[in-house]
Amino acid sequence: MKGTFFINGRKEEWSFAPDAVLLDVLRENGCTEVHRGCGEGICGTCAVVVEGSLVNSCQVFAASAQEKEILTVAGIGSIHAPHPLQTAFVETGAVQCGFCTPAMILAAYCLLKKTPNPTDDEIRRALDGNSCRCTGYVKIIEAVRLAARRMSSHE
Amino acid sequence: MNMVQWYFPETIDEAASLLGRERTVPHGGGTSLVKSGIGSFAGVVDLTKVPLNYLKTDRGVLEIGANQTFASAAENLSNLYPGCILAEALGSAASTPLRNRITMGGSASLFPLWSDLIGPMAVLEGKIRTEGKNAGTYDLSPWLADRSLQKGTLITSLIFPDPSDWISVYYREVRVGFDYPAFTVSVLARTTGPRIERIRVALSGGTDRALRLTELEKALNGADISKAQSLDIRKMGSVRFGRKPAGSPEYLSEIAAVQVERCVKSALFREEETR
Repeated sequence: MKGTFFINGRKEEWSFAPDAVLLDVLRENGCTEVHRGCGEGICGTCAVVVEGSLVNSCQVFAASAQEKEILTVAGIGSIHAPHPLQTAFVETGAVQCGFCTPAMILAAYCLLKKTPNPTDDEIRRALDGNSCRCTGYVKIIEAVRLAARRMSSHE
Repeated sequence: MNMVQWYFPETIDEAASLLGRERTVPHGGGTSLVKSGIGSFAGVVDLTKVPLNYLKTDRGVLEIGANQTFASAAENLSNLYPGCILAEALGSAASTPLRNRITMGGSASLFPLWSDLIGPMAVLEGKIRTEGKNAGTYDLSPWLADRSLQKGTLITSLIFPDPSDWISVYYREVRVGFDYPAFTVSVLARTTGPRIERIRVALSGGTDRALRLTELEKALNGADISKAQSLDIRKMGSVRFGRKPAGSPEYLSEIAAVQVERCVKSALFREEETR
Protein backbone atom coordinates (compact mmCIF):
# COMPACT_ATOMS: atom_id res chain seq x y z
CA MET A 1 0.00 0.00 0.00
CA LYS A 2 1.02 3.64 -0.43
CA GLY A 3 0.71 6.44 2.05
CA THR A 4 1.61 10.03 2.84
CA PHE A 5 3.69 10.86 5.90
CA PHE A 6 4.88 14.24 7.16
CA ILE A 7 8.42 13.60 8.38
CA ASN A 8 10.17 16.51 10.11
CA GLY A 9 7.99 18.89 8.13
CA ARG A 10 8.57 17.16 4.76
CA LYS A 11 5.76 15.46 2.87
CA GLU A 12 6.74 11.94 1.84
CA GLU A 13 4.91 9.34 -0.25
CA TRP A 14 6.07 5.88 0.69
CA SER A 15 5.08 2.31 -0.17
CA PHE A 16 4.86 -0.23 2.62
CA ALA A 17 3.33 -3.60 3.49
CA PRO A 18 -0.07 -3.54 5.26
CA ASP A 19 1.49 -5.05 8.37
CA ALA A 20 4.67 -2.92 8.36
CA VAL A 21 5.50 -1.01 11.50
CA LEU A 22 6.51 2.64 11.37
CA LEU A 23 10.07 1.89 12.55
CA ASP A 24 10.79 -0.26 9.49
CA VAL A 25 9.23 2.18 7.06
CA LEU A 26 11.19 5.09 8.51
CA ARG A 27 14.50 3.24 8.38
CA GLU A 28 13.89 1.81 4.91
CA ASN A 29 13.34 5.36 3.69
CA GLY A 30 16.52 6.80 5.14
CA CYS A 31 15.53 7.87 8.65
CA THR A 32 18.26 5.77 10.24
CA GLU A 33 18.47 8.18 13.17
CA VAL A 34 15.49 6.14 14.45
CA HIS A 35 17.24 3.20 16.07
CA ARG A 36 15.99 -0.37 16.26
CA GLY A 37 16.06 -1.79 19.78
CA CYS A 38 14.00 -4.58 21.29
CA GLY A 39 11.15 -4.47 18.77
CA GLU A 40 8.78 -5.20 21.67
CA GLY A 41 7.91 -1.72 22.88
CA ILE A 42 9.98 -2.12 26.01
CA CYS A 43 13.28 -0.27 25.49
CA GLY A 44 12.04 2.91 23.78
CA THR A 45 15.08 3.16 21.50
CA CYS A 46 12.89 3.58 18.41
CA ALA A 47 10.78 6.39 19.90
CA VAL A 48 9.56 9.16 17.61
CA VAL A 49 7.00 11.90 18.13
CA VAL A 50 3.69 11.36 16.33
CA GLU A 51 1.28 14.29 16.44
CA GLY A 52 3.06 15.64 19.51
CA SER A 53 3.14 12.39 21.48
CA LEU A 54 6.15 10.19 22.13
CA VAL A 55 5.52 6.67 20.80
CA ASN A 56 7.56 3.54 20.17
CA SER A 57 7.69 3.33 16.38
CA CYS A 58 8.12 -0.46 16.56
CA GLN A 59 4.61 -0.62 18.06
CA VAL A 60 2.85 1.60 15.53
CA PHE A 61 1.52 0.28 12.25
CA ALA A 62 2.73 2.47 9.39
CA ALA A 63 -0.80 2.31 7.99
CA SER A 64 -2.18 4.03 11.06
CA ALA A 65 0.54 6.73 10.95
CA GLN A 66 -0.48 7.94 7.49
CA GLU A 67 -1.19 11.67 7.18
CA LYS A 68 0.38 12.21 10.60
CA GLU A 69 3.14 14.65 11.61
CA ILE A 70 6.15 12.57 12.61
CA LEU A 71 9.20 14.05 14.27
CA THR A 72 12.53 12.28 14.57
CA VAL A 73 15.59 13.60 16.35
CA ALA A 74 16.86 14.95 13.01
CA GLY A 75 13.87 17.26 12.97
CA ILE A 76 14.66 19.17 16.13
CA GLY A 77 18.20 20.29 15.32
CA SER A 78 21.24 19.67 13.18
CA ILE A 79 24.98 19.49 13.73
CA HIS A 80 25.22 23.16 12.71
CA ALA A 81 22.14 24.31 14.63
CA PRO A 82 21.64 21.86 17.48
CA HIS A 83 18.68 21.96 19.82
CA PRO A 84 19.60 22.96 23.40
CA LEU A 85 18.87 19.37 24.43
CA GLN A 86 21.35 18.04 21.91
CA THR A 87 23.99 20.50 23.13
CA ALA A 88 23.29 19.61 26.75
CA PHE A 89 23.60 15.88 26.06
CA VAL A 90 27.03 16.43 24.49
CA GLU A 91 28.27 18.81 27.20
CA THR A 92 27.26 16.62 30.12
CA GLY A 93 28.57 13.41 28.57
CA ALA A 94 25.04 12.00 28.42
CA VAL A 95 25.55 10.71 24.89
CA GLN A 96 27.72 7.79 26.01
CA CYS A 97 27.42 5.03 23.38
CA GLY A 98 24.74 7.00 21.55
CA PHE A 99 22.35 4.15 20.91
CA CYS A 100 19.49 5.37 23.08
CA THR A 101 20.29 9.08 22.60
CA PRO A 102 17.89 10.02 19.76
CA ALA A 103 14.92 8.58 21.65
CA MET A 104 16.08 9.99 25.00
CA ILE A 105 16.31 13.44 23.44
CA LEU A 106 12.83 13.13 21.95
CA ALA A 107 11.40 11.96 25.28
CA ALA A 108 13.00 14.96 26.97
CA TYR A 109 11.83 17.21 24.14
CA CYS A 110 8.19 16.16 24.72
CA LEU A 111 8.60 16.72 28.45
CA LEU A 112 10.05 20.23 28.09
CA LYS A 113 7.36 21.25 25.60
CA LYS A 114 4.78 20.54 28.26
CA THR A 115 6.75 21.15 31.45
CA PRO A 116 9.53 23.71 30.89
CA ASN A 117 10.87 23.44 34.45
CA PRO A 118 10.49 19.79 35.40
CA THR A 119 11.40 18.29 38.74
CA ASP A 120 13.76 15.31 38.82
CA ASP A 121 10.75 13.07 39.38
CA GLU A 122 9.05 14.48 36.31
CA ILE A 123 12.21 13.92 34.27
CA ARG A 124 12.48 10.32 35.45
CA ARG A 125 8.83 9.72 34.71
CA ALA A 126 9.10 11.21 31.22
CA LEU A 127 12.04 8.94 30.46
CA ASP A 128 10.46 5.86 32.03
CA GLY A 129 10.05 4.15 28.67
CA ASN A 130 13.63 4.68 27.50
CA SER A 131 16.37 2.26 28.47
CA CYS A 132 20.02 3.28 28.45
CA ARG A 133 22.17 0.23 27.82
CA CYS A 134 25.16 2.02 29.37
CA THR A 135 22.98 2.56 32.47
CA GLY A 136 24.13 6.16 32.42
CA TYR A 137 20.94 7.76 33.65
CA VAL A 138 22.63 10.25 35.99
CA LYS A 139 24.20 12.16 33.13
CA ILE A 140 21.05 11.95 31.04
CA ILE A 141 18.96 13.49 33.81
CA GLU A 142 21.67 16.13 34.30
CA ALA A 143 21.46 16.95 30.57
CA VAL A 144 17.70 17.40 30.70
CA ARG A 145 18.05 19.65 33.74
CA LEU A 146 20.71 21.74 31.98
CA ALA A 147 18.66 22.08 28.80
CA ALA A 148 15.58 23.05 30.82
CA ARG A 149 17.56 25.77 32.63
CA ARG A 150 18.97 27.11 29.38
CA MET A 151 15.68 27.03 27.53
CA SER A 152 13.90 28.80 30.41
CA SER A 153 16.52 31.51 30.70
CA HIS A 154 17.07 31.65 26.91
CA GLU A 155 20.81 31.21 27.46
CA MET B 1 2.23 -11.00 0.67
CA ASN B 2 -0.22 -10.06 3.39
CA MET B 3 -3.40 -8.80 1.74
CA VAL B 4 -5.07 -7.44 4.83
CA GLN B 5 -7.22 -4.41 4.00
CA TRP B 6 -7.11 -1.30 6.18
CA TYR B 7 -10.25 0.79 6.66
CA PHE B 8 -10.43 4.32 8.05
CA PRO B 9 -14.07 5.00 8.98
CA GLU B 10 -15.09 8.43 10.22
CA THR B 11 -18.32 7.57 12.01
CA ILE B 12 -19.40 5.08 14.66
CA ASP B 13 -21.98 3.54 12.32
CA GLU B 14 -19.44 3.08 9.56
CA ALA B 15 -16.93 1.50 11.98
CA ALA B 16 -19.55 -0.81 13.51
CA SER B 17 -20.69 -1.89 10.06
CA LEU B 18 -17.13 -2.69 8.97
CA LEU B 19 -16.59 -4.73 12.13
CA GLY B 20 -19.56 -6.89 11.11
CA ARG B 21 -17.46 -8.33 8.29
CA GLU B 22 -15.71 -11.65 8.67
CA ARG B 23 -12.19 -11.68 10.14
CA THR B 24 -12.15 -7.92 10.62
CA VAL B 25 -10.74 -6.39 13.79
CA PRO B 26 -10.67 -2.91 15.30
CA HIS B 27 -7.40 -1.05 15.91
CA GLY B 28 -7.46 1.84 18.34
CA GLY B 29 -3.74 2.49 18.29
CA GLY B 30 -2.47 0.20 21.03
CA THR B 31 0.09 -2.54 20.82
CA SER B 32 -1.83 -5.82 20.99
CA LEU B 33 -2.38 -6.22 17.26
CA VAL B 34 1.25 -5.33 16.56
CA LYS B 35 2.31 -8.10 18.92
CA SER B 36 -0.18 -10.72 17.71
CA GLY B 37 0.15 -9.81 14.04
CA ILE B 38 -2.59 -9.06 11.55
CA GLY B 39 -1.72 -11.74 8.99
CA SER B 40 -4.74 -13.90 9.81
CA PHE B 41 -7.25 -11.07 9.39
CA ALA B 42 -8.99 -9.90 6.25
CA GLY B 43 -9.46 -6.35 7.49
CA VAL B 44 -8.26 -3.91 10.15
CA VAL B 45 -10.51 -1.02 11.09
CA ASP B 46 -8.43 1.95 12.20
CA LEU B 47 -10.54 3.90 14.68
CA THR B 48 -8.48 7.07 14.96
CA LYS B 49 -10.85 9.12 12.78
CA VAL B 50 -13.97 7.95 14.64
CA PRO B 51 -14.98 10.71 17.11
CA LEU B 52 -14.39 8.70 20.28
CA ASN B 53 -11.54 10.67 21.79
CA TYR B 54 -13.30 12.47 24.63
CA LEU B 55 -13.79 12.52 28.35
CA LYS B 56 -16.97 14.12 29.65
CA THR B 57 -19.22 14.23 32.68
CA ASP B 58 -22.98 14.49 32.66
CA ARG B 59 -25.02 14.60 35.87
CA GLY B 60 -22.25 12.97 37.81
CA VAL B 61 -21.63 10.20 35.29
CA LEU B 62 -18.14 10.06 33.81
CA GLU B 63 -17.83 8.86 30.24
CA ILE B 64 -14.47 8.18 28.61
CA GLY B 65 -14.42 7.65 24.84
CA ALA B 66 -12.80 4.47 23.56
CA ASN B 67 -10.09 6.37 21.67
CA GLN B 68 -8.81 8.25 24.71
CA THR B 69 -5.31 7.07 25.45
CA PHE B 70 -4.26 6.14 28.97
CA ALA B 71 -2.01 9.22 29.03
CA SER B 72 -4.80 11.62 28.03
CA ALA B 73 -7.36 10.00 30.30
CA ALA B 74 -4.97 10.08 33.28
CA GLU B 75 -4.21 13.75 32.70
CA ASN B 76 -7.85 14.74 32.20
CA LEU B 77 -8.98 12.73 35.23
CA SER B 78 -6.27 14.22 37.43
CA ASN B 79 -7.58 17.68 36.59
CA LEU B 80 -11.25 16.75 37.05
CA TYR B 81 -10.97 14.43 40.04
CA PRO B 82 -7.69 14.91 41.93
CA GLY B 83 -6.71 11.69 43.68
CA CYS B 84 -9.08 9.57 41.54
CA ILE B 85 -8.05 5.90 41.52
CA LEU B 86 -8.55 5.66 37.78
CA ALA B 87 -6.18 8.56 37.11
CA GLU B 88 -3.53 6.98 39.28
CA ALA B 89 -3.90 3.53 37.72
CA LEU B 90 -3.88 4.71 34.11
CA GLY B 91 -1.03 7.14 34.79
CA SER B 92 1.16 4.41 36.25
CA ALA B 93 0.51 1.76 33.58
CA ALA B 94 3.37 0.68 31.30
CA SER B 95 5.61 3.58 30.22
CA THR B 96 5.17 7.04 28.72
CA PRO B 97 5.34 6.04 25.03
CA LEU B 98 3.00 3.10 25.62
CA ARG B 99 0.53 5.17 27.65
CA ASN B 100 0.45 7.50 24.66
CA ARG B 101 -0.84 4.62 22.49
CA ILE B 102 -2.91 2.31 24.70
CA THR B 103 -6.56 3.28 24.43
CA MET B 104 -9.43 2.78 26.85
CA GLY B 105 -11.40 0.84 24.25
CA GLY B 106 -8.50 -1.40 23.31
CA SER B 107 -7.78 -2.13 26.94
CA ALA B 108 -11.44 -2.95 27.63
CA SER B 109 -11.43 -5.24 24.64
CA LEU B 110 -8.57 -7.34 25.96
CA PHE B 111 -8.41 -6.83 29.73
CA PRO B 112 -5.14 -8.75 29.98
CA LEU B 113 -4.04 -10.27 33.28
CA TRP B 114 -1.70 -7.31 33.83
CA SER B 115 -4.37 -4.69 33.12
CA ASP B 116 -4.17 -1.50 35.16
CA LEU B 117 -7.73 -0.62 34.16
CA ILE B 118 -9.58 -3.68 35.39
CA GLY B 119 -9.17 -3.22 39.17
CA PRO B 120 -10.30 0.43 39.28
CA MET B 121 -13.11 -0.48 36.89
CA ALA B 122 -14.27 -3.21 39.29
CA VAL B 123 -14.35 -0.98 42.36
CA LEU B 124 -15.82 2.02 40.53
CA GLU B 125 -18.44 -0.32 39.04
CA GLY B 126 -17.77 0.97 35.55
CA LYS B 127 -19.55 -0.24 32.45
CA ILE B 128 -18.66 -0.81 28.83
CA ARG B 129 -20.81 0.82 26.15
CA THR B 130 -20.92 -0.67 22.67
CA GLU B 131 -22.45 -0.20 19.24
CA GLY B 132 -22.92 -2.68 16.41
CA LYS B 133 -24.06 -6.30 16.62
CA ASN B 134 -24.16 -6.45 20.42
CA ALA B 135 -24.96 -2.80 21.12
CA GLY B 136 -25.57 -2.14 24.77
CA THR B 137 -24.09 -1.27 28.13
CA TYR B 138 -22.34 -4.07 29.98
CA ASP B 139 -21.15 -4.60 33.52
CA LEU B 140 -17.60 -5.84 33.86
CA SER B 141 -18.36 -9.44 34.91
CA PRO B 142 -20.64 -10.44 32.01
CA TRP B 143 -18.30 -8.64 29.63
CA LEU B 144 -15.34 -10.66 30.86
CA ALA B 145 -17.33 -13.89 30.88
CA ASP B 146 -18.44 -13.74 27.26
CA ARG B 147 -15.89 -12.75 24.65
CA SER B 148 -18.40 -13.41 21.88
CA LEU B 149 -20.04 -10.12 22.85
CA GLN B 150 -17.20 -8.39 21.05
CA LYS B 151 -17.82 -10.03 17.69
CA GLY B 152 -19.01 -7.43 15.20
CA THR B 153 -19.18 -4.92 18.00
CA LEU B 154 -17.46 -1.58 18.60
CA ILE B 155 -16.59 -0.43 22.10
CA THR B 156 -17.53 3.26 22.12
CA SER B 157 -16.91 4.32 25.73
CA LEU B 158 -16.47 3.33 29.33
CA ILE B 159 -18.85 4.87 31.83
CA PHE B 160 -18.41 5.32 35.56
CA PRO B 161 -20.60 6.58 38.37
CA ASP B 162 -19.21 9.76 39.96
CA PRO B 163 -15.65 8.76 40.95
CA SER B 164 -15.12 11.68 43.33
CA ASP B 165 -15.33 11.70 47.13
CA TRP B 166 -13.71 8.32 47.64
CA ILE B 167 -10.58 7.70 49.63
CA SER B 168 -8.63 5.62 47.17
CA VAL B 169 -5.56 3.43 47.25
CA TYR B 170 -4.09 1.71 44.22
CA TYR B 171 -1.18 -0.72 44.39
CA ARG B 172 0.55 -2.52 41.52
CA GLU B 173 3.01 -5.33 42.18
CA VAL B 174 5.96 -4.64 39.89
CA ARG B 175 9.72 -5.06 40.05
CA VAL B 176 10.32 -1.82 38.11
CA GLY B 177 7.79 0.84 37.18
CA PHE B 178 7.22 -0.15 33.57
CA ASP B 179 6.88 -3.86 34.38
CA TYR B 180 3.62 -5.72 33.85
CA PRO B 181 2.00 -5.88 37.29
CA ALA B 182 1.75 -9.39 38.72
CA PHE B 183 -1.40 -8.18 40.47
CA THR B 184 -3.08 -4.95 41.45
CA VAL B 185 -5.09 -3.97 44.51
CA SER B 186 -7.78 -1.29 44.28
CA VAL B 187 -9.52 0.08 47.34
CA LEU B 188 -12.22 2.75 47.61
CA ALA B 189 -13.57 3.84 50.97
CA ARG B 190 -15.96 6.38 52.39
CA THR B 191 -15.93 7.07 56.10
CA THR B 192 -17.99 9.24 58.41
CA GLY B 193 -16.18 9.84 61.67
CA PRO B 194 -15.14 6.43 63.00
CA ARG B 195 -17.67 4.58 60.79
CA ILE B 196 -16.96 2.90 57.47
CA GLU B 197 -19.79 4.07 55.28
CA ARG B 198 -18.71 2.00 52.27
CA ILE B 199 -15.64 0.09 51.20
CA ARG B 200 -14.87 -1.68 47.93
CA VAL B 201 -11.82 -3.87 47.38
CA ALA B 202 -10.69 -5.56 44.17
CA LEU B 203 -7.72 -7.76 43.42
CA SER B 204 -6.74 -8.31 39.79
CA GLY B 205 -4.19 -10.67 38.28
CA GLY B 206 -5.34 -13.85 40.01
CA THR B 207 -7.10 -16.77 38.36
CA ASP B 208 -10.22 -14.63 38.63
CA ARG B 209 -9.16 -11.61 36.59
CA ALA B 210 -10.83 -8.94 38.70
CA LEU B 211 -12.15 -10.23 41.94
CA ARG B 212 -14.20 -8.04 44.27
CA LEU B 213 -13.43 -9.22 47.80
CA THR B 214 -17.08 -9.21 48.82
CA GLU B 215 -16.64 -11.14 52.07
CA LEU B 216 -14.17 -8.51 53.26
CA GLU B 217 -16.38 -5.68 52.04
CA LYS B 218 -19.42 -7.11 53.87
CA ALA B 219 -17.45 -7.46 57.08
CA LEU B 220 -16.33 -3.83 56.97
CA ASN B 221 -19.28 -1.97 55.45
CA GLY B 222 -21.08 -0.07 58.20
CA ALA B 223 -18.58 -1.17 60.84
CA ASP B 224 -16.34 0.91 63.06
CA ILE B 225 -12.95 1.59 61.50
CA SER B 226 -11.29 -0.19 64.42
CA LYS B 227 -12.75 -3.46 63.11
CA ALA B 228 -10.08 -3.41 60.40
CA GLN B 229 -7.52 -3.97 63.17
CA SER B 230 -9.15 -7.11 64.54
CA LEU B 231 -10.30 -8.68 61.28
CA ASP B 232 -8.12 -11.28 59.56
CA ILE B 233 -7.89 -9.27 56.33
CA ARG B 234 -5.05 -11.40 54.96
CA LYS B 235 -7.18 -14.50 55.12
CA MET B 236 -10.10 -12.74 53.47
CA GLY B 237 -7.80 -11.28 50.84
CA SER B 238 -6.23 -14.58 49.91
CA VAL B 239 -6.96 -15.58 46.31
CA ARG B 240 -5.58 -18.13 43.86
CA PHE B 241 -2.92 -17.30 41.30
CA GLY B 242 -1.45 -19.09 38.33
CA ARG B 243 2.30 -19.33 37.77
CA LYS B 244 3.83 -16.08 36.54
CA PRO B 245 7.34 -14.70 35.87
CA ALA B 246 6.93 -12.69 39.08
CA GLY B 247 6.61 -15.77 41.27
CA SER B 248 4.91 -19.03 42.16
CA PRO B 249 1.14 -19.16 42.78
CA GLU B 250 1.75 -19.62 46.52
CA TYR B 251 4.13 -16.66 46.72
CA LEU B 252 1.84 -14.34 44.77
CA SER B 253 -1.17 -15.39 46.82
CA GLU B 254 0.72 -14.61 50.03
CA ILE B 255 2.06 -11.21 49.02
CA ALA B 256 -1.23 -10.19 47.42
CA ALA B 257 -2.99 -10.89 50.72
CA VAL B 258 -0.41 -8.76 52.55
CA GLN B 259 -0.94 -5.91 50.10
CA VAL B 260 -4.71 -6.15 50.41
CA GLU B 261 -4.34 -5.71 54.16
CA ARG B 262 -1.93 -2.78 53.75
CA CYS B 263 -4.12 -1.05 51.17
CA VAL B 264 -7.32 -1.43 53.22
CA LYS B 265 -5.59 -0.09 56.32
CA SER B 266 -3.99 2.69 54.32
CA ALA B 267 -7.41 3.75 53.02
CA LEU B 268 -9.07 3.55 56.42
CA PHE B 269 -6.34 4.94 58.59
CA ARG B 270 -4.86 7.18 55.91
CA GLU B 271 -1.48 5.75 56.67
CA GLU B 272 1.39 6.52 54.40
CA GLU B 273 0.38 5.14 51.04
CA THR B 274 1.85 1.78 50.09
CA ARG B 275 2.72 2.63 46.51
